[in-house]
Amino acid sequence: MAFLSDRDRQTLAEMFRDLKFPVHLELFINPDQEWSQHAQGILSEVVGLMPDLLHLETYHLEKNRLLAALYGVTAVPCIILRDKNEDDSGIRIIGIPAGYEFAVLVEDILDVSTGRNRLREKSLHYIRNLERDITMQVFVTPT
Amino acid sequence: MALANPVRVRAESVDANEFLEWADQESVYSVPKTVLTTKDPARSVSFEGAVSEEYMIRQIKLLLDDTGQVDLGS
Repeated sequence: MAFLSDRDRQTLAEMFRDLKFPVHLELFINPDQEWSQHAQGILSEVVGLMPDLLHLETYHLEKNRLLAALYGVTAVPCIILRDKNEDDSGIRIIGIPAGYEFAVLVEDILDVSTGRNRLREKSLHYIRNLERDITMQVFVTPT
Repeated sequence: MALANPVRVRAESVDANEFLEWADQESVYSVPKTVLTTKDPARSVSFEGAVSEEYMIRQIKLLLDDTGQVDLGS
């Protein structure tokens, strides 16, 4: 079953021309859950468009509890983006990457790959110098 | 923001429709809803709507402020 339409593929292929360095996507799933299967299907098709630069690794949550704990995964499907050095980017997409979340996924992949940051200098300075850990959760709906 | 400091900042996008219980816990009645949290001491700040970068930074300052005297001007 194809999750992406031909038009999606074409648009993505164009957007992915801007990719610069590899991005590693780690997907935590529960294989019995329909949402997880859906997420896995979408991601497989996305990385398949640019196999040299996009890498997908899928983990069963139950079988990889330790790794999940290290990444702070509590709900699945959960996508973790790692950069060219395989360092954690701090970005998580929780839920099926469809609709609005799909756009978030694509933008995040591009940001991680290119290392671009759109923050103003002042904000960048503030965030870089944070002395405590913070979690920013944004609740969205796919449509 | 996570990319600017991945060691300190975790940025999560959560599909509220799939995680109704979770969304309920965080009182998500409209989206986008942002919940900022920090541990030790456990604190949180939340707000609704698409906000500006400056607003987001102010909310982070509010979250991390221990004095109740956050300088919202800077």
